[in-house]
Amino acid sequence: MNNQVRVNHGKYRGNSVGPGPRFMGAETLIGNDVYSLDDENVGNIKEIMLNTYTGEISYAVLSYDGVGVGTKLFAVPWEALTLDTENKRFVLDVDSSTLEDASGFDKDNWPDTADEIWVSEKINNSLWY
Amino acid sequence: MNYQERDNYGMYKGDNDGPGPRLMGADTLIGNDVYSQDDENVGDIKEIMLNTQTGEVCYAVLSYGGFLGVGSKLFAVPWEALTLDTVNKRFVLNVDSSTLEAAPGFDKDDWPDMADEIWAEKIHNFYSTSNQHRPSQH
Repeated sequence: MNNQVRVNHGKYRGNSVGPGPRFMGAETLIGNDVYSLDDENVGNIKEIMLNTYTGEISYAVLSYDGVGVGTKLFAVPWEALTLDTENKRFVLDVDSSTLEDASGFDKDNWPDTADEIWVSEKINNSLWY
Repeated sequence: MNYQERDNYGMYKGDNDGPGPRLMGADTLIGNDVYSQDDENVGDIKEIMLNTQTGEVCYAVLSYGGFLGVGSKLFAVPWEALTLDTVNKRFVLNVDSSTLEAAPGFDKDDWPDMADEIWAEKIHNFYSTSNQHRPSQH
């Protein structure tokens, strides 16, 4: 699923300039595919967490479907995602092996911020560069 | 429909520092009711517009359909004009319902260029919000 399939209100249609790619609807981005730096389809965007006080994206939730490991959820900093407008999907700034080895977060205990997770993963597992 | 009913992943269940009410899932906010200052149900959240480059939440797109009787029109509202009412699990808009009769809207088949400063100025003026880009807090 990509951001044009999910269009409900026709916002990316027609000849008018309209929103996108700078302004994108959150709902149209949810479910979009995510590819790793080594061009593997590593899952899709499950949610986009907003800080309602500051009006900023806190993190995106990546649902990772690995072979034999089941589904893992990752709290990904927004800065680590790039919208590939040509292929209409996101590119995540890590290799697929990084996600394969990392643990993700507990579904019953959603994190406060992305950075916590990614920073601790980096320290604990020498991941993330 | 409110965000608790839309919480398919159980993100708001835990009593940790995680989601709600400061940290909310965008998908759980879609379809939530919006009330005016004079406590009228004026519509609901259809979409939340993000600036993908800065990571800012810029506008909520509302339908005032039932209230104003114009079903096909949508209205962009600056994010700062909305407050989450966690008691009633809905949003409160910073204007009265009578004010909304003059709200700048657009046709659902003709979305505005949200990067257009003139358009942005008009929207922010109407809702008395600031068009200043907030400094990044990363």
